Amino acid sequence: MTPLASSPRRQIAARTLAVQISAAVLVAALVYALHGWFHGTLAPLLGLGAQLIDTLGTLGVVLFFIALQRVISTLYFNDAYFGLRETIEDPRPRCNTDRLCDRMIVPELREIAPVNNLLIDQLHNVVAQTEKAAFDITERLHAVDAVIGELQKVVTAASVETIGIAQSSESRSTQNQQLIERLKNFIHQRLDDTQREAAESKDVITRTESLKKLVELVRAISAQTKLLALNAAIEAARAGETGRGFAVVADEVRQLSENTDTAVDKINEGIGAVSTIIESQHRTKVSHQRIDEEQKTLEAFAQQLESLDQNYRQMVDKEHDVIARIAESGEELAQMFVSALASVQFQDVTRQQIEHVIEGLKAVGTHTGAVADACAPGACDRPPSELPSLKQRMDALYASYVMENQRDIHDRALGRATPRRQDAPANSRIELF
Amino acid sequence: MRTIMLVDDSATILLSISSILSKAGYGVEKAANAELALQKFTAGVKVDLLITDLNMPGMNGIELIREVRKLPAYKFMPILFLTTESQQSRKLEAKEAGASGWIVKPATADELLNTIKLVLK
Repeated sequence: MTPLASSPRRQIAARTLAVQISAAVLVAALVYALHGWFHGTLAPLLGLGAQLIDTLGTLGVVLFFIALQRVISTLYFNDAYFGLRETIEDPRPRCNTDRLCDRMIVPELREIAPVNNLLIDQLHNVVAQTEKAAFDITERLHAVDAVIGELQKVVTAASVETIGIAQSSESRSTQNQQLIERLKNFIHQRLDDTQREAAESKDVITRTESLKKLVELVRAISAQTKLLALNAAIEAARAGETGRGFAVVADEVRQLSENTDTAVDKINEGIGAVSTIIESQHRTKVSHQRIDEEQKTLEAFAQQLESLDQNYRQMVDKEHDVIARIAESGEELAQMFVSALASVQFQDVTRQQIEHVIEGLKAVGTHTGAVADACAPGACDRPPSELPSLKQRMDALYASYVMENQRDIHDRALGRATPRRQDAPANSRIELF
Repeated sequence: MRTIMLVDDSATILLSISSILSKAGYGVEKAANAELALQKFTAGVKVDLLITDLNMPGMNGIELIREVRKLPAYKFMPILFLTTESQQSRKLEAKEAGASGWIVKPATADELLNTIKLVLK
């Protein structure tokens, strides 16, 4: 437990006693030393009676004693009030009990330093934690950046691929267009060919039909030949033996005529069959319904091909747009990553601000410790030590600030106008020399 | 590739600023205090720009650049301060010691990179 400190009253009593004893000893020594001179030399010189001279001597001793007390007090305590002028003249009300400071204030003041240290430890912990968190954030940002980098590589590769596909699709589209064009030409060609074939078939049939007339002419010649052979046979029979050879010829001619008839019939049949086949083939080929169907089918195929080509091109364009957008987003992410990295500097700024708060807390702790020491028992009996005021300590803290906002906050908290410091920073946060 | 020496006692600042510089295409040499940086300079590390913090444990930024300027190889190398300090008196002190510029933390990536471009011109 802290020993009770002396109260001002006790201090006055103790110091008064000490000074009075010192003064009394000095006065006694003086009386002793000057007694002979006073009564032997001064009294006859003044011509006063013994009673009066003793009275004057006593008055002089008392006045000297009073003055000597002041002198001793001033020499020893630096003032005429036993070193307690400030206490005596202090207008503030005194404690109700002399020992209030001893019992409560000094112990409480001594408790401030450990509490301060506790707060300082907490703040150090906050600094350590925020530093670790900021470092972790930075490392995670790195991981994110690595992913973005990979993504950008993929996107770049995909972009190159898409450009290749787009170029290839351009070439393929051109080929498709050529194919569609060829298909359309083929459809028209097919129509023309069919019409031409129809005309040729008709011409063949006509020509085949005309062969029938020639066959009929041969048949007529054969009939006339047969008639001629008969007449010749009759005339050979009439000629008798001389006409026998001629009869043989006439018979051969008749047989030839009959063979010719047979051949003509076969030729007719053949011509008929050829005509029928050609007509049948022509009918099949020139069937309008079939041609229309063929044309429609080919046209539908061409359209489908064109549509497919268009869809494919749209798909390639879309893919190109998507990849471009992803690449753009990747760039934005990279920019955001760099901005986020720069923002991490907040931790360093905050750390330095907290470190100044810690310095301030340390100054308060030191100050309260010093105040407690000054109030402790026996402190007044010791020579006064240099105790910087709290204001001086705070001014020292102010001088150690590095950021303008620290100084502004300090000024605002103390209710003083922010002075236009000669040392004020330039407006720009960046300065090139 | 231009190389930048970055000196700061904060590991977070070293990591974040060096990443920004690397992404911008600079080579980066890092030092966690002025003494380590000076060792590298004395060993003749090839550096085109020095960016240093001001208040560091041990040797501070101004003391560092005074020492660096004594080395002939780095007499004309640009030097930037990147610090929370904003007092004119410290800036003047840095300028007299041979600094080329002063950036107050926190600086954006653009501010930092644009200033670097200017001093490296």
